[in-house]
Amino acid sequence: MLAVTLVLVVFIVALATVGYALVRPRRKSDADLLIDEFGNLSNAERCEFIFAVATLDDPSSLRLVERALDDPCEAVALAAAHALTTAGRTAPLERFLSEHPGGRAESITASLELLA
Amino acid sequence: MRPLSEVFAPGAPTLPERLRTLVVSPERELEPGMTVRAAFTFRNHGGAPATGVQIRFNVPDGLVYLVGSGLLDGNELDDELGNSPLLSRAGAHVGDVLPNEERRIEIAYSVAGAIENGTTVELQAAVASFELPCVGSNVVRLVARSKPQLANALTCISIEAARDAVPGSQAQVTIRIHNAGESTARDVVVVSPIPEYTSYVAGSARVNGREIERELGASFDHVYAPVVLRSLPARASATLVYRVAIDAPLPGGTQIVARADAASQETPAFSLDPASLTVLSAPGFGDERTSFSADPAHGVRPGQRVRLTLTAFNAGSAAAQRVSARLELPEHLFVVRGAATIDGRPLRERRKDPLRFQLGPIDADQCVTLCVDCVLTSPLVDKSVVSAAAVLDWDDPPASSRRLECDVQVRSEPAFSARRNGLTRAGSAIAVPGGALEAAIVLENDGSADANDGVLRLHIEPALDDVAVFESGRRLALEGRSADSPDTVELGTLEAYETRRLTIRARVPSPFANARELRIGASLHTRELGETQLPDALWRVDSHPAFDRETSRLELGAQSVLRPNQLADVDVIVTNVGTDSAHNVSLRCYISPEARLESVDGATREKSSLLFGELAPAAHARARLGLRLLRGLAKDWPVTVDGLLTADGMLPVPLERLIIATNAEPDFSTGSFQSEPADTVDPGETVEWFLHVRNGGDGTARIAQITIVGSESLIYVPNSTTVNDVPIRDSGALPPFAGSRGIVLNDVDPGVEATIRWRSVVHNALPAGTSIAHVAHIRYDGERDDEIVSAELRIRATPIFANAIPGLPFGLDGMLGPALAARPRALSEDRFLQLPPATPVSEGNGSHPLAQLSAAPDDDVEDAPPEGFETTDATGTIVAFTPDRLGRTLRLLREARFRGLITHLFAVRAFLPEGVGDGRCSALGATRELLREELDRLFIKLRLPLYVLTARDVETPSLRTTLERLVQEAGAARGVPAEAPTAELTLRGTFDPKELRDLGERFAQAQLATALPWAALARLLPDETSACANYRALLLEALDGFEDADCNEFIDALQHRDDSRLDAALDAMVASLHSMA
Repeated sequence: MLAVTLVLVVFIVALATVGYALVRPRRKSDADLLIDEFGNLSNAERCEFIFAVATLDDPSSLRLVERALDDPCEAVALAAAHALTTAGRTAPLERFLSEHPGGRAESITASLELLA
Repeated sequence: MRPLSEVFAPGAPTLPERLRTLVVSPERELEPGMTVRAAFTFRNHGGAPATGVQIRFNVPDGLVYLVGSGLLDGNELDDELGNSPLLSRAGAHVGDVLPNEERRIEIAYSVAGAIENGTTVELQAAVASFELPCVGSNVVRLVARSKPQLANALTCISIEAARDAVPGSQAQVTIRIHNAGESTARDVVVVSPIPEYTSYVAGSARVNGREIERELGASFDHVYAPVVLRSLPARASATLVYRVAIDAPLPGGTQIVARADAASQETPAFSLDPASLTVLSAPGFGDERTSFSADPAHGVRPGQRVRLTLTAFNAGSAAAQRVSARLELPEHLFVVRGAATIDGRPLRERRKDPLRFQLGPIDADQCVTLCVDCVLTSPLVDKSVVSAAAVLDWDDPPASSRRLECDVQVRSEPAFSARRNGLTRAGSAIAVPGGALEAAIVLENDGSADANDGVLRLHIEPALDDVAVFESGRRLALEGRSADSPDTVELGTLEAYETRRLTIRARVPSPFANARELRIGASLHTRELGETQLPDALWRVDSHPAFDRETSRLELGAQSVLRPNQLADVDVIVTNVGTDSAHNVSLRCYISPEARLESVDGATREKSSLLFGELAPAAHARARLGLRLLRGLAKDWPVTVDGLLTADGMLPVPLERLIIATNAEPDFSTGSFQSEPADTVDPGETVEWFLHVRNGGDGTARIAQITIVGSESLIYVPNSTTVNDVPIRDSGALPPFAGSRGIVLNDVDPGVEATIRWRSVVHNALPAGTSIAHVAHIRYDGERDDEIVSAELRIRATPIFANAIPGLPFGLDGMLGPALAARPRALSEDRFLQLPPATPVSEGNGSHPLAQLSAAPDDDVEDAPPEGFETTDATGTIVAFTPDRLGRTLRLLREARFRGLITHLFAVRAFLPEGVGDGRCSALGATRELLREELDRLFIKLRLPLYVLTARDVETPSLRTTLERLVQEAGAARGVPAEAPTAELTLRGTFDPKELRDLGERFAQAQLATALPWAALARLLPDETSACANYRALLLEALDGFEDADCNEFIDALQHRDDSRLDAALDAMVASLHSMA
């Protein structure tokens, strides 16, 4: 009985170890940390942040702006779309709009036309 | 004839009966033991002596010579050994028998004890002599009469066990038949029934050692009265033996009686005295089948159940009554109550005397198994032996008992279970460089034995500092393989069930890389268990680069004032005050449009950004920027340098704005004032004067008044004044530079030259040697007055008496004079002064190629403002819409309807003119772009629910700068812009430039995000149609109402103050545009 219990305990510990190895958080890159910090901001702060980093021409900022296209707040997404349009980077925006069709994409498109 | 020695030989025929003188007594029958007497008498009937007479008797079987009975004539013949010569082969020598002499020979025989009945005994005597052959006597035949005798003392039966007469053992029945008679007993029959309580052992019946069952043809016990012997001679014995097995069980004292009857043909049946055997029987638990054992008996761990099994096997031959067992358990062994079973059946629970068990009766060869479960207590020393005992009691014989013992060998070891032992992190999982880490180690020996020689080995990141281990507030000594990496703590013995708590403290070095995992692990090594790994405690280092505005800043270099066309050094100092390296550190510079980034030293420049690359913690980078002020600015108009510091993994940090004071001053101090001819002139000769002035400074001169005092010696040639070869109208009768205001140059940019040229005629009446000099005064910026003095021109007068003038048909009392309206001569290169270099100014950067000129007013308009710009003419504006733009504008106005006055800022943005005046307004485009950028962002932000406007949403420093430029340029604009050829709809407007200039002058004192700029911009809106005019008027009224309001009030009004009249006017204007489109 004791041996069976020990085997079960070892098995459970092994399962827990494998599970933890699969789900344990990986080390995040600086860009990921930036995105994490971005996610903790309020809607207005995220808008400001997008406008601020849109002037930067580095890949991490661009990636952040592209990610913001899928922001829960439509205004933030519109800010990102406007920033990309202003910077002349329409390819990521067009790709996003084609991959996410719907009312939100239409709204963003209409707003961009207004601001053009 | 046979000699005497050959008669009576065995098998030889008897002698012929010649002498019938043998008398035998008894005569017919004889019985065993009887004495047979024989007397033989013979007589020498001859005559002669018979010599060498010999006499011999035979000795028949069954008769035995009686020693001393051989008599010759009464004389004993036996020799000294008792041998009778009568029976020898040669016979007895009786000597010579004389004739007629008679001799008597007597002999006696004893009948043998055992002679078969009916045996015939023949007696004969023979006599011989030398002279006579052997003569036989008569043969006397006697018949023996005898019988067997079986019933005698020697005929008996016995039964005896091989060892002990215990049930189950074997016993041997022996029947001894002795023929005590004189003859053979025939067909001896023995009836011997198998005794009660026994059973015959097959094949064991023997008669005199001979197996008889084969002869019997059946098993001995199945044949009644078998003939065990065909004959039993007299005096002989026969033994019938067979074995029986004693029944088992049998009570002790049971008598096994063996009985037998015997008979023969000659002997009637008779019973033998029975023999008996007393069975020895008792219960017994003494053999190995009665046992007391423990399962398991080896390697039993404390806490483990041990089953004690008492097997009571009655190895005796009798049932044991009232058997009980009593367990004697040591202190380390506890019985499990309710778990005892007897023969697999649970026992009733008894609280009293739980270690005594009544086993009840146990028959012989029966077994009772008592099982009791016990638990081995903990702790126990490894390899110790725990002994348990069981005492078995029974009452036959009374107070019988047996004590049995069994041993349990203990396997005990310490244990450090993962559940109770561990290394846990204390506090947050986020470690900060420079901060302390603490982890708690709990070591609980929950095993059943002590753990000896405990050593705690720590696995600590080498980067950690100040590693210490504490136990109960006491710091433990850390040892290690090497002195610089101590990682071992001696713990000694960890007793069973003892808990030790240790605390590990360490400090994270600073700086330290971000997101790096710090791990503190430990393992416990004990002599018994070896290495026991404890879980690791993990921290994740939260380390980031950081920049603040105190340590990262923009500093002005040596110059405190930036002058146009000069380089100003700006030092950029970037210090990483964080705890991790900053990657891709860059500084995006926002420099006022008036300045340009010329050079960067110490960093990589990419457009307007400075790339510093990677910056280690606490490290700083310094770069020197070279800024060049592009164009002249008004005094105290600062150049601003904003910096946005970015790096990977951090929020942008705006640096403190660097404000560089500019000092742009015009300078007309250097110039040249020359004449042609340069040195001497004749009276009446025309002198051409060249005044070269140049703004050699670095600022624009708004107004430069050039006045030249006229000389009495010279007569001005009317309308001969040109400025840069552009003829200038005289001021009345005076040259334009001689008026009260002189020649007024406006907006003279640095480096711009003006050449004023005029002609004058030398007064004829001047005496020779008179010096003529002009003094030019250049007053600019209302403060400075530079003076340029021309070289002296001397009059060269010579006497002339001629009166004949060539070319005239008549004489003229005069002299030839200079011809009027002579073509002005062009300036030669060598007339220019070598002035210091100035910033090239072209039309592209918004500057005018030449100073704007305006005629000085006449003297009768002396009260007019000195600027000379005062005019009542309105300046026109135009905004043109293509169909597409008009549609977007109207949609934007429809969408941008927010609460408050903020809507009307979008209207200002929508209707901002594209042209102001008939000139080019360079700031207009920049203003439109900035307005569009700011208000687009604001449009997006206002879509956020409950968004609160801030000052920077309304106006930024760059927007302010651009607006100021626009207001300045618009205030100076004149005329009406040209029609746009491609526009479908054109809206025009007019404004008073003076009013705009007044507003522009208040910009310097106005704080950001006030209504002032918007009020200025609103004046540029179209008012061509009534709807537009109405809206503009109402908008100006609303915005001018905030003239004295600060930015907070204005922002509040933008977001919260509703003006229905204004909104309606905007709607009406939009509607009218719809209709016009």
